[in-house]
Amino acid sequence: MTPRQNTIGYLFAAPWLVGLLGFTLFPIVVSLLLSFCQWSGINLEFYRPGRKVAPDEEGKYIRWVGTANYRRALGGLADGAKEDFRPPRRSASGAGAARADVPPDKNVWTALKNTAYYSFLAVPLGLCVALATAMLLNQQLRGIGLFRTVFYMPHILGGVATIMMWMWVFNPTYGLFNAMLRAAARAPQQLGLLGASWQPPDWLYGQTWSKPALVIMSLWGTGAAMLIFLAALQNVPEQLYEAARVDGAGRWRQFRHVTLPQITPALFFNLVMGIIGSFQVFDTAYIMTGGEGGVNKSLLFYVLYIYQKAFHDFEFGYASALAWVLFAVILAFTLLLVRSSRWWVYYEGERR
Amino acid sequence: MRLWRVLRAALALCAAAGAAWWLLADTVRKYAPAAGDQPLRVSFWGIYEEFEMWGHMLDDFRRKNVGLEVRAEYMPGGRYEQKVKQLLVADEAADVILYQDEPFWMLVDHGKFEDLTGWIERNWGPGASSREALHRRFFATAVDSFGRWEGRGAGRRWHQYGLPIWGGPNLLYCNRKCFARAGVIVGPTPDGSGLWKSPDGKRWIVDDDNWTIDQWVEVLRRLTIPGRPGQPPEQFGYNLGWWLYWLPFHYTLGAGYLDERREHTVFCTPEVLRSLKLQQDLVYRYHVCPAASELTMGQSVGFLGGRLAILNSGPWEMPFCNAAELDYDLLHIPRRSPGGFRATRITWDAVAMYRGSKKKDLAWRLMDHLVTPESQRTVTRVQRDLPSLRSEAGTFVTANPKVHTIKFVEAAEQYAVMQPITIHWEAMARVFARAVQNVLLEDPARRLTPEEAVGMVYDDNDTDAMKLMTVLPPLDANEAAKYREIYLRSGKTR
Repeated sequence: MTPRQNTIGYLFAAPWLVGLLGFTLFPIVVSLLLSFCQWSGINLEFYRPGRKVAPDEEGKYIRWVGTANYRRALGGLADGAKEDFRPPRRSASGAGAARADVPPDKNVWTALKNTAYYSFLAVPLGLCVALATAMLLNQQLRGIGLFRTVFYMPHILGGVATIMMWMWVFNPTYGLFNAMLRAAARAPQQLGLLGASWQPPDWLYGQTWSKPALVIMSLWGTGAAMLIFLAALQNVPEQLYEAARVDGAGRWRQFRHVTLPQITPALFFNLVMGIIGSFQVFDTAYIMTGGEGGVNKSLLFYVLYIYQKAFHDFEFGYASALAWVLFAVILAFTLLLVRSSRWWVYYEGERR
Repeated sequence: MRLWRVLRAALALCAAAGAAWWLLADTVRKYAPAAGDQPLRVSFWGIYEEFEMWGHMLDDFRRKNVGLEVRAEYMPGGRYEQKVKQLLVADEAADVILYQDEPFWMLVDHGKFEDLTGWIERNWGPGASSREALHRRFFATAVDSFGRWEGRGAGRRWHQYGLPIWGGPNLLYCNRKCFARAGVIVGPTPDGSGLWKSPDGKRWIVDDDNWTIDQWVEVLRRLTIPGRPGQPPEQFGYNLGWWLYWLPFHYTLGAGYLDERREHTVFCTPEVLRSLKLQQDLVYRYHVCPAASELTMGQSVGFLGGRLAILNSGPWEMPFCNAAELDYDLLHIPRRSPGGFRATRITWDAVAMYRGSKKKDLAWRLMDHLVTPESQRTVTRVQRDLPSLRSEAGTFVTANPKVHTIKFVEAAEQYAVMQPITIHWEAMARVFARAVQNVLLEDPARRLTPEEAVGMVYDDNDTDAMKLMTVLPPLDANEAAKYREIYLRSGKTR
């Protein structure tokens, strides 16, 4: 390729390159720098070392604080985890958390715990539902195209309207879900198997059932994963099934030893995308809780917390540090999955 | 071949120029003119009626200042505060900015708003910027919401950072149809008391100028109409709503959030416990207020639709009620005891001058125009806010003869109390709101008692509460510790 051709190539790629540099790379670098600073997001004035500033004036400047933001976040993670796994004797006489130079933020642990709970429940369940639906839609039936469209539609219809609909479904008093549960409970109640005072869950209005409610809701939008599974299922060679049948394999064995190994690349892709997506869950919790994080922070997901810190508390430096911690967490999970894939993902034609 | 190359180059150049124009022309058009050629900018938010109201006020201003270009920057929807802050960071904020009282002081402390004291002195005459003089012109709470004492000793003087333009106190809206359904009438009682019941018990008369909190609860019980067995009531007396809307009752009961200097929290007094207990009782003992899941359509819709007999809100609710042609009226906040103390929340909006403005003289001219009687009369016509100018309170009252809007004026003059605003508003609101939310939890096993909820506010194991205690420590540390211990021993810690 001649230098002239190179130049023309770069010129054609220039709009994208400008976008990448200006709207992706630049914010990434700035957020990394900000994560080592304290900034209220209002003044663009830098703090000059040696300048005497009253404690309540500090927040007015962009100030280099080194690793303080990370120590605050990670300290909160460590403290929260410690308390959850080995609860200390809580006493009013002494302070709860050990005072460090940077007070640990235990909300980080709460947010990460909520997110992980959601992620580790919603992603596997979502994959199971998506795979099951894909297998159903892989049948040779009349009008199967219509069914495929209908099952994929919720994925397209996602957004605020869907979330509002689910809020009604989960309403403890008037919601569809609890109406069904109450109807189902009537017979066991009459038989004395269920107490007369039994009440269905309070879903989004309590802290115990709020996350499961969101997990159930997430199953509604598994259309994208389903489509990928469907494509993978259609690529499984028919002769493998024939051979399995000749060997006497039943339906389950065919699924276990033919279908599943053949679709592992799709499974792997959906798993990685699911984990990444679920760790970034935001809109559902934001709309359902008005951005507050639900009853006693039960729906305070990590990205929602970053948003709160940046746009409610105007701690942009700290919010940037939180974003980088999330990046590290997602990266760690993704690397773990990629490393583990060599043992369970099968690529046809690949040398083992 | 050569011609083809030239043609290609020309085409590529044209394409590049077109793309550059498409991408950048608007930006260049906006920023190329010198500061003097830029229009005067004013940013505001609000509902459509307010957008129209601004249009009228700005048209008047343009008529008075022929040739002066004014650009209205209407930011509908939520998060106005954040949008303004983003513009401030980019040094792109409007010259005149409408702002609410709660987040106002944070921006003043960051040096974003101009001190208006000098402008007031120069334009309204010597001494006009004193607190007393401003109190004569505007409602007192409106002035105090956007001004403060600065300096020490002889140099101590009042500094005004915002010109209040409208606002109003919270009062109780009554849906007359719901009242009639329950047999309750509003008016003077035969015996001059706050509540009179006919001997046969069929007719109740409420004199809202004299009623007490106990009588109010009694009326709420009467207004609540049961639903089918196992179903929530058909009609509720009242809705608790946002924690700040409880402030009228909280203050009337003698409870507080902050001390007078606004440096300490006072959320651990017996009065606070009584206030929390009353909220809990209204929902779970008397069931005159819906639990969170029993009124999901929002309280305004509930009120308009007749599910709520009484709604707590400010003048900003009136345009909706008027548009729906609802038969409604206003009631005063009940007193603590017969003839005793009562209080309500009042909130104001002000226009502030951006310190980075290049057109401060013109900005002042516009701000001055917004608080003229003519502009304030435009405000009164919309009936969404009480005008900040005292002299125009009368036009606000006469603009809607069907409703006793004079009660907004009476409340603002006689018993409205400023909100507990500090620069730590967000941290404070989050902790107090959570305590109230836990007192009202629907799961009885997890619901906190008032004592436990107070302890939760002072739980230093919680990051938010700890932050609040750092910036606004409790006035009585021993009491706070006592309730913290109760909360920690309850087994209901979060």
